[in-house]
Formats: sequence, structure tokens, C-alpha cells
Amino acid sequence: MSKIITRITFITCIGVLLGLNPLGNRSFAQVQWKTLFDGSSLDGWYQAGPGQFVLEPDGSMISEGGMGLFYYSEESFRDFELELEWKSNKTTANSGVFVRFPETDDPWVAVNEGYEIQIDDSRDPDHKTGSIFAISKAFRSNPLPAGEWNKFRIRVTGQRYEVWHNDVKVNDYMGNRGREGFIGLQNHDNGSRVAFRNVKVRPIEGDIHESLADLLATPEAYEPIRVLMLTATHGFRHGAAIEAQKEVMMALNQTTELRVDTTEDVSMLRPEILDNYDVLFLANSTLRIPHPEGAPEPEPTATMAEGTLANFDLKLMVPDNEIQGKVAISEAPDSLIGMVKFNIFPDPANLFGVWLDTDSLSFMWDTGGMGIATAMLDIDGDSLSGLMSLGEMQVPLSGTPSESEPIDYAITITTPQAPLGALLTLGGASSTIAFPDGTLPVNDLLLAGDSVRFHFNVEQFGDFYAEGVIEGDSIRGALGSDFGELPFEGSRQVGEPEHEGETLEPEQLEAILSFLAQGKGIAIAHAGLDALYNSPEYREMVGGGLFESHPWTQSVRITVEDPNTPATRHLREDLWVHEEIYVLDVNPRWNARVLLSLDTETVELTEASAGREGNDYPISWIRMHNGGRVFATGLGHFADTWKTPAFLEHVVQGLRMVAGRTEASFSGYRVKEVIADNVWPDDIAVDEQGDVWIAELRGKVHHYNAQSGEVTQIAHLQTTDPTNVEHGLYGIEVDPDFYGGSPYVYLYYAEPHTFINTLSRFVYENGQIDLESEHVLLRVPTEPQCCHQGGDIEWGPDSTLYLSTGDTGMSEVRPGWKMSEEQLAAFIDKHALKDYHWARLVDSERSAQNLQDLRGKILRINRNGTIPQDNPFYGKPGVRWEIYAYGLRNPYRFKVDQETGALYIGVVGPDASFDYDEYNVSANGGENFGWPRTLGKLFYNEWTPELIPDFVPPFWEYTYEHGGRSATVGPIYRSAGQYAFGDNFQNKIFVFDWARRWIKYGELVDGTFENDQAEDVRIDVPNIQMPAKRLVNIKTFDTLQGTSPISMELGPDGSIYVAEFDGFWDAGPDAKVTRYRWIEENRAPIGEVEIRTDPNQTRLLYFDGMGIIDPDGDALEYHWSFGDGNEAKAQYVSHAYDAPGEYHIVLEVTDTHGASRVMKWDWKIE
Amino acid sequence: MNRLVSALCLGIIIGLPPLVQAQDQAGAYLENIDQLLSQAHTASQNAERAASVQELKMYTDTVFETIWGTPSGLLSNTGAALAHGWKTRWQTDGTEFDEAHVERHGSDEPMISDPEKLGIMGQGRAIVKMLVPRQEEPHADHVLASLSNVIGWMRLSDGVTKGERQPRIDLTHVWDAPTRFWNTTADTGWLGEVHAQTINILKTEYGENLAIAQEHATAMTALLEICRSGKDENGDGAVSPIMMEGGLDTAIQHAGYLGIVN
Repeated sequence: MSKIITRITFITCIGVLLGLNPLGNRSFAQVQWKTLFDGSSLDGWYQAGPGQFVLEPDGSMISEGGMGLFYYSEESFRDFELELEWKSNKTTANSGVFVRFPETDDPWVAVNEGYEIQIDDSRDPDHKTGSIFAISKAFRSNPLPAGEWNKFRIRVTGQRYEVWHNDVKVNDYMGNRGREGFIGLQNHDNGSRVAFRNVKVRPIEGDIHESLADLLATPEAYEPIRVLMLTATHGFRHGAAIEAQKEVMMALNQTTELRVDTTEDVSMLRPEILDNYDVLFLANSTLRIPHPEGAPEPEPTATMAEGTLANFDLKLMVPDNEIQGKVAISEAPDSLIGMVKFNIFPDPANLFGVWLDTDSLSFMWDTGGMGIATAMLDIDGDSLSGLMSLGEMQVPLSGTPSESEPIDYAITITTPQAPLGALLTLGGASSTIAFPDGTLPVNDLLLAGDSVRFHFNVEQFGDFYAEGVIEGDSIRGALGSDFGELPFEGSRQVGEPEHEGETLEPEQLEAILSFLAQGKGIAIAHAGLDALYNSPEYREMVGGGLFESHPWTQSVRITVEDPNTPATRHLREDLWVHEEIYVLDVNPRWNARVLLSLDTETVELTEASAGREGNDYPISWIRMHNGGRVFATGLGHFADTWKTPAFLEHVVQGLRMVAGRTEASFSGYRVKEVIADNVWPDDIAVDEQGDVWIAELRGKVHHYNAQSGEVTQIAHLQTTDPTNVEHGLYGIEVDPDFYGGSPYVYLYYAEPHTFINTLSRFVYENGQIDLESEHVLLRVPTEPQCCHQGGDIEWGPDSTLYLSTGDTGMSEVRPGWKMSEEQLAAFIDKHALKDYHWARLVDSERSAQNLQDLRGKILRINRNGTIPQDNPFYGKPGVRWEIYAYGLRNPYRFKVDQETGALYIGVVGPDASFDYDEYNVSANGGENFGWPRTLGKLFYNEWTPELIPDFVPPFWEYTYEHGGRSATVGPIYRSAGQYAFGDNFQNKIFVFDWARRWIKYGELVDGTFENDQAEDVRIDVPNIQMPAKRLVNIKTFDTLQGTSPISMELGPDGSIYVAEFDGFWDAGPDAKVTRYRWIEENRAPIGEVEIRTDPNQTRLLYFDGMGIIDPDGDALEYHWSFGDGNEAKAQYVSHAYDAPGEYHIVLEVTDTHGASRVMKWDWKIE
Repeated sequence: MNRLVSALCLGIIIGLPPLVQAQDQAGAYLENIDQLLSQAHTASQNAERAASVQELKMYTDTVFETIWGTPSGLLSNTGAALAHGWKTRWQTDGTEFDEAHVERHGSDEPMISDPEKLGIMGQGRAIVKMLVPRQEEPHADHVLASLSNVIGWMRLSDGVTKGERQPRIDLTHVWDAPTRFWNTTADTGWLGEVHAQTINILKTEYGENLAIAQEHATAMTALLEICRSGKDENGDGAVSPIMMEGGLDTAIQHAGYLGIVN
């Protein structure tokens, strides 16, 4: 490969020479509006080309025929702001607003020499309303329905084109066409009737920028930042983006301190080359080139569908549900093997005991927690039918042959305007063709030999018929259409990402890492994250995660998580882009400081199912690695993104940050450590010193000493055997004044034999809990049956003690136990219900809805067991005044917000498939959360909110769709402690799920609760909507492997403690208590200084501080004292001594946080 | 009490069938409950007139004792009211448990096995157990309904979970009751409100604020009177011996019609 280097040799900054205004300090003047069309006449307007605009009685003008151009010919405009209103007769109506085109009779002149702000809500992003036609996609869409008046505001200044659609900014593009021209409207075709009114314009003076480089010009001459931009890539996708980034970066050479060289030659990654640069910019560089000819093909990856003997799609027919899966059977030397995967389980399972003959198939697998499952199936033709057995449960199972694995081809279609990329997926009846703005079904696929035929339909443009040839991994052919023949060609995509073809040599990778080790910077954009999958070093460098998929190519909102960095300050709260969003295989959040992240609402990703799938997509982040600074952004797929001022400024500032020229803190990462692994924790408490108190279900209590790190058993309480009944030692807390004279430990446990759950206070002394010191504060009579004991204890901010209690009912308790089918049918008929499943869950009325009973509640008492007189039911006759909130099934874990006093409660719900778990908030006390009358989004039987006293709906809920669930609540995170997580975590609520093993966090906002419309119990589903707190922006903090979170606490220093449960009724081997911390200590500068002498001038010394780096990436200040009374403040200085002698030289290097490194030398000058 | 002993002795002597013996026992228990409720009412009125918080709590503790036959333990101590263990509350002898369940959770007999020592609640539950076999008879049904309004509609029945038979308390037998029933306190029993109120008073630190404590005692008296007289829930001007309406008075009245009390 030839070496391509474009060296920009401009040394001086043109921006400085031209005296351009600095960013953010612009002044401009506006003059009065001029009306171009006032609704009364079309005077001054001129029709070019076919069709016309007609004056309407309502004061508008409307398009007819086309394609023509109707423009205001009286005056051309240079820098201006244009406002107008328009409405279309249908969503597919096509029109547009032209700006800055020359006088013409040819409407295409306006298209080709001016810019068109498009109107057409039905088109692809390049041609949709708000786009600059075929040039810059609108990054937001904000249309009103057809027939309603829309508003355009178009601001054209210098080469900047900004568009607001209905007061929302949708485009911001730097162009390069004519600086002055006319304003016109398009009449596109007979079917498109688009009306315009209130067309007005006002000239703008000032605030003029002729290019992106001009816009981002630095106002003064900074020290140059030498950047090597590497664009080596093997893919077809980023060519246009790379050209755009080259163009803008090279232009920035002229107006900023950036001195960018560009190359696509990876052989440049050599120390002697990199020594000449401050920053290596891996801009859309996959760091690999196309696979060399003759190189061995990568081994195909084995997939489930490639089993050699049998592949079947499976369906498990469970009540009210249908669970889908796949099974593949293959032949091993001595036996049959295979895999099975169901959609309710995250991982496939290996088969054993496989038997296959002509008319039967049987196999077994370990479900991982639910026991061994067995499938016994008959084969009838192509179909399977039979039963799956799991314990005592038997479920009908059916199967049909799986289709072959689809094959993806990335193709490029040549159109008259521009090449169009698409992904063609050929896989039988499920074949598709995916364009950037949508996916279409491929019909009538015919694969015969090497030929391929299919067709697809685009609503606006009709049918496209493809005929092509497949040769090896290549495909080529043509699409026949009403628009003529459109050639296409492409190549097979072997999965995503394309890992093969990595050609970076080990020494080249080493050169990158060594470059960083010198304290220099690396910036990565978009496809730079689709690189070097086989390099753990590179993976670690970028933050841990590499490209896994790009499920969203669309307009998205990017949330600014840290608005206080140079790269984000200009963005304020958010950034809208139309981009290809990368999903990485490992979330970089825990190894980096995240600057930007995806607002998942804009890709309609919700946490309704509360599964283990991803929900957190950092977009840009910074981190330290090997002593150097790293800036990475997942954006930059499209060429027009690089010409968007907001994004380009983000990148430019990122380059400055990694070069160490602007102040930014790069340090910070999460650590997780085991603090106790010889315990079987059920509940934990953390005291003010960070000591952890650990309760085990079978009665043992342990103490973790934060100072010594030792774990000691301090008690073994006699309690009820928990086996099958969930009784035992439930909860633990220590007194808020533990170290101030109240050395009490509080335990909630089941008294043996009596089945009375007891909250007691014990004295801790001499390293043990004195069990004889028990003072019983509360007794909650219960029953010897599984389950729902609740049992969490928490302190309120006023040192009152809260306790959660379960309803002690059984989820299986339903009338079906007692009632005949006839009775049930009559009940269902009487209340117009759908299904007996929900009929009458009355058993918990005696506990959760019974205000004379302490079960199914949150209780609140004083530390001595008396009743606080500010409890919500205090004074109400006949109600237990300890009750704080009620209507709870199994509130296994809850937390009290120490700032607001609000309670956050996780409630474990029934196991049935459409039932829910839920989370509740008790803001003031006295709330009824509804169980057993409602749970989640379901209202059982005839219950509605107005029939349930004090009802408050949940703030989050999810169903059994993804398997077992147990909703539990962790801390409300507020900490400024030494190990506190950042601003993005402050005031967030942690939630966790024992069954699903995840820990998430989210934000509580005012919203609307809506009932389940699809699975409601009733035949006539009520529409219930209530104002409610709702949990949003839910992100995953961690997903445990092999253990389950069962208790979670916030430590005084910001650490998060998690009790990890393993085993079931007895301890499992992985049970432990762990601690998460955010490490952000400020480290002092490190490294060495080089002092050189000049062979020609013995009294002249050169002091080189380049070897000093800051491990946190902070900018450094150098202060040299030469010992002769002279000083200097620069990284690299020279000093000539006047006279011989021995001089005491001191260098103090200080980072932005005040940490310094002081170095001293005694130097003899001859 | 004398009547109960007499009935038992007579039954043994003349060899009356067990059901007949049970009916006499039920009648005797009902009369005991009548006396206990009166005692509770008197104690509650005394509490209303008490001269000190301590005295008020003493009377309240008497009310507490009538309900379950045992004092609260809160007169000399802050913290938790005493409560009977599960078997005592429900008078099981352990045989209802599956063997595996018994092995895990102990097979001790109930701490107290004589319903007479278990106040209104214990004796009331004993009556319910005795009359359920006759619930098809209208007057028996009226006694059961009225008594259940006082002590709650919960029944002891069999439940099966994890493959083990375990006795359990449930409301399933009235599963088809109207929504209104579940929003009253009759489902779990008006006496439960009295019990709650006694604990509330005993666990509240009134300091010298006797007036507030007396207000709470007055409320306790009113709750006891509902147990006695019932409620006109349906607004027809009468208290009927039916779900949500009848109290102890209608229970005794229909027990007379049934012939188990004089």
C-alpha cells in the first residue's frame, strides 16, 4: 500500500490574521422583516418550469403541477433569516424551500446550485422534511399531521444553513455553494398540493462564518497540536465520512492550532513517526485493510442452526403464553449432541441424553436453577409434537423445521443522484433489504445455482425487480424499476463485526500504547471502535467495549452527561444527530468518564420487560490509559455529521483535551471487590464507619471491620428453619448512634415454633451480640407456610425504625383450590372476566388490606418500640398505628430516602405469567399499594383505583415475560464521599432483581401510570390513567454472574455494598458481600526530566519536561528555578548561566488540582 | 363456666353424641364471650374516666386480656405486645401437619389448648369450628355470620405447598363476597379493631397528655359497642344476622333460636 500523507504546512493561523471573533462572543445585527408574500398577491414572484402556484382565498398560495420553481425574483439575498408556514395535502406530498440560487428559468438550477430545504414526510432521511435535500439529513423530525400548518425558520449565514421546523432545530449544516441568491418554493408534482403563507425574510449582519473552519477558528495563536489522523479501513461504509473528516480537519489546520496530517497507511504506526505528534486520531479507522488475496478464509462460526442432523423451531405452549426456542442436533463421534435455546432464558443449554430416530426425538438439558428438563417428541413428517417435563410440570411442546441461516450482503445501489447503501439479507421467507431509514421485505426470493431473483416494493416508488449473480462472497446485478435500471453490487457480510483481516502488526499496536505512555493523546471516532478485536490491549485502551451491532440508524437525542468539559460545554443539555449508533460488547462506562450517552427513549427502548438486555449506551467518553489520554466517540458514521458544527466542535475539543491543552479530568473507574466470602448473606447493614453487618437466613450474624478487613461471626440466633417457608433471620440494622453510646443491633427474625416474626434490639459488646440482652420491639404473628415474610429493616432520617412485612400468603392461593369450575365460570360471567386466573385473590385481604394486622405493610416505630405520633394512621380508631403503608405482597427490600423521608419499596409478585412485580414510593405515608386487588398494571376482578382506599399506583412494574423476577430496592444514591459515583448517579434510585441478577438505577419523575390494556382481567378493558411517579432512564449498574443480589446498601464514603446470594436453603459456594467504588483520586505528575548540555556552549543547558506526565490527564504547569535567581515556566526551556559554579536546580510540576512533583538537581557549570 | 362443666359431665355420663356435646360447648363459650365483652366494655369505660395515663393503660390492658386471655405485657415495658404462637391462636394439635413439616418446625402441642383461656377470640373460633357442620341451618348460619363479623371470617383449612399438607388460615370460603365486604372491617372482624386500639393505646407515649389518651379510650369503647350491637350496613334500619351487620347480640339471639343458649 502506498503511503498517503497530506501535510498541511500553514504555520500561521489565518483566523488570527483575519481577526475573526472568538466563539461564543459574537455580535450581530438584524433589520426589520420584509414580507415576500402577504396573502394578497403574487406580485414579485416568478414561475420557472412547469406548473404554478395559485393564490387561495385563505391568504395562502398553493402548488399545482410540476416540477417547477416559484421564486421571489425582485431581490436576491445574502445572509438572512426566512420564516414561512406551509401545509401539505398528504404525508407523501413533496415540495421544498430553495435558497441562494441564481436567476433562472430552469428549476433544476435551484436544486443543483442552491440548497433545498425539503418538504416530504414520507421519504428517507436524506430527502425528508427538514433535510437539505440529498446533502444533510435532518437530525430531528417534528412534523404536524398533513393538513396542519407547519412553520419553517431557515437561517442562512455565511455558509451555515440552520433549519427549525415548528420551533425545533432540525438541521445545521455548513455548505459551500453560492453566497447569495434567490428564495423560492417548489411545485413538485400534480399529486402534491403544498400551500405556503406568511413568507417573510430579514437580512442578517454579523455572525457570519464562511466555513466550519471559520466557525471553529481559534481567536489567538496557541501552541500547535500535532495530530496524525489515521483512516485505514477495510469497509465500504465510511468512505464518504472519511472524505468529509479529511476535508474539515484539513480546513481546521488553517484556522486553529490543530496541525493535522492524514494517512490511511497503518505502517505509519511506528515510534519514530508518532514521536512527531501529540495526538493520534483513529477517525473511522478499523485499523485493518481488506483481506489479502490468498489469505485463508476464516473458519465459519458454529451456530445452533448449523446442526447437521436436525434443526427445529420450538414452541412451548404454556397457559396464556407461547415460549419460543430452537434446538439443533448434531452428530459427535460417540453420541448425539446439541443445543437448545428458549427466548425466556439468556443462554443456550447443551443437550444430553439425545435420542433421534425416524419417528421420535428426545433430549434433556439443565435449565440452570429450575432443574433438568426432558423433551419427549414424536416426529410426524416435518413436525414435532410432544411434552416437555420439568419437575412435576408437563408442558406441550411442538416444533417445525428451522429455516437456514440468513446470509447478509452489503450492497451499493447506483442511483442517478448518489450511491445508496443497503443490507440485503437472503434467508428464505424472512428475506429483507435494509436501507438507512427502514427495512423492507424481499418477496419471491429465487436462488438457483449462482443466480438470484427477488423483488421488493417501496411505497412511494413502486416495485423493484432484482436479478443478479452470486459468485463466492460477491453479489452483483441490477434492479429494474420505473426509474430505469439501477445496478447494484456488494459482498457477503460474515457477521458483525468483521473481525477478519486484521493486519496491524504487534509492533504497531505497541507503538500506539507507547505513544500513550508518553502522556500523549488518542482520539477515536466511530469505526475506530470496530477494530482490533483480538487485541485485549486495544480493547482496554478504548474503555473495554468494541462494536457489537448498530441497531439504530436514525435521529437520536444524545444526552450530555457531563456538561462541564470543553467537549460538551457548547452542547448544553443534549445533541440531536441522525447517526448510526454503535452498541458495544462491553459498556465502557465503568472504565471511563462518560460525556455523552444515548437517550434510549428516542430509539423506543424501554425497560418494560426489565430483562438483562442492554440499556446503557455511552456515546462519547474520556479515560486515562497507560499514562495517556483517550477520547472516544461512537458518532461520525455519516459525512454530514462531520459537517455539523456541534459535532465537529465536540471532536475538536476532544482533540484539545487529549492533547492536554484544555482542563479536563480524565481519571475515574469502577472497582468491585469482595469484602466477605465466607458468609451466606441475606441482609446487610452498613454503619457510619463503613463496617458491614451481615445477617444469614439461618441465624448467623457476621461483622466486617472496615479498618482491618476482618470478618467475624458475632452471633448465631436460634430461628425457624427456613427450608421451604422462607422463615428465619430476615433483616439487620445497627443503631444510628451505634458509636455514640447506643451499641445496638436490630434483628428481625422468626421465633422458633411460634411463627411469630420478632423485631428485637440486642446489645453489641466485646465483639459479640449479647443474645441475652434481647428487647422485643415488635411482634408480627405469622403462619407456618411459605412465603412472603418481607423482613427488611431501615432507619428513617429521624431515627425511627421502619420494617417491611409480607402478606404471608401463598401465590398459589386462588379459588381454584376450593371452588368448582361451575362456580368460577359463574363468577367470571358475572363480572365479565376473561380468565379465572385472576379470579379472587382474597386470601391476602386478611393481611395486606387488613389495617388491624401488621402483615403486608411497612411499619414504623420508635427505637424503643413505641408508636411515633406522626405516623399516618395515628389516632384513627381500630387501625394499628405502627402501619405506615399497606397493600403490599412481599416487600422484601425497601429504602428510606434520608433527604426526603420518602420510602421506595420493591414488591415481589406472583409467579403467573402475566402478573407483575412492582416498585412503590410512599411519599408521605398512608398509601395503599393495592395488593391483593391490584398489582403492577393489572386490576384483579372488578377492582378499579377508585374502589381501593388510599390507592397509589407503582412507579415501575414488569411481568414474567423474561422469566422469574423479584423486584427489590437499593439505595437512593446521594454521596459526595471519597468513593462516590459521579453526578450521573446522584439522586438516582437503585433497584435490583434477585431472580434476574441485575442491578439497575433510574430516575424518578412525574409521569402517568397506565393499566395493562392487553392482558387485563376484564373483557371490556378499562382505560386507567393516573398521575404517578415513574422510573425513567433506567440503566444497568451490573449483572451478577452465578450469584443474585439480595441486599444493597450505600456506605458513608459513597461505596455501594451488595450481598450476593448463592445457594437456596443453604449456602452456595459463591455467596459473598461485595463493594463497588468509583476511584477518582488525583495523582501527582510522574516521569523524568532530561537535562542536556550544549557541546558548543558549556554554560547553556536545555531542560526538557516532556517526560513528565499526569496520570489523570490533567494539564501541567512547570516552574523551573535555575539556582542563579532566574526562573522559567514552560515545559521545554533553555538557560544560559553567566558564571561557572554549582547550581541548585528545582523543577516543580503541578497539575490542575494542586498535586505536584518536585525534582532537584545540583549541577556544576564549568 | 359452670354450665360448660355441667354440660361436659352430663354428656360423658349419659353418652350424648359428640355433636350434641359440641353444641352445648358452643353455647357455653358464647355465654362466656358475652360476659367477657361486657367486662371489656366496662374496663374501656373506666379507661375513659381514668385519672392518669397509667390507670388508663391498666384498664386498656384489661380489655386486651379479654380478647386473647392474656395481658399485653406492655404495662411495665415498652416494645411489643405479647402474642400467642401460631398453634395456640388456631388451636391445632400438630396432627394437621405433614410429617416432614412437623420435623422441621416442631411438633409441640399448643402452649394453651383450652379455648376458655383464650378470651373472646379463642372461644369464638371454637364456636365457629363447632357450628360449621350445621351451617346449612338458617339460625346456625346467622350465628356464624354474626360471630364472624366480630372475630373475622377467616377459617382454618388445608393448604398444600411444596408437596406438603400444611394447615392454613384463609378467607377463600367467602371469595365471592361483594367488593363492599372487603372494604369493611367485618371481613377480618370488628374485634380486631378493638385489639388494635388496645395496642395503640398501650404503645403510645402520652406523657402527661391524659386527654388524648381518653379520646383514644372513647374510640375503643365505640369499637366494642359495634362488636356487641353490629352495624346497619345496608341502611335498612335494622341490624340483621348477616355478613357485615350482625354482632354478638344477634349471634346470641340466633343461638337461642338454635337452642344452644337459654
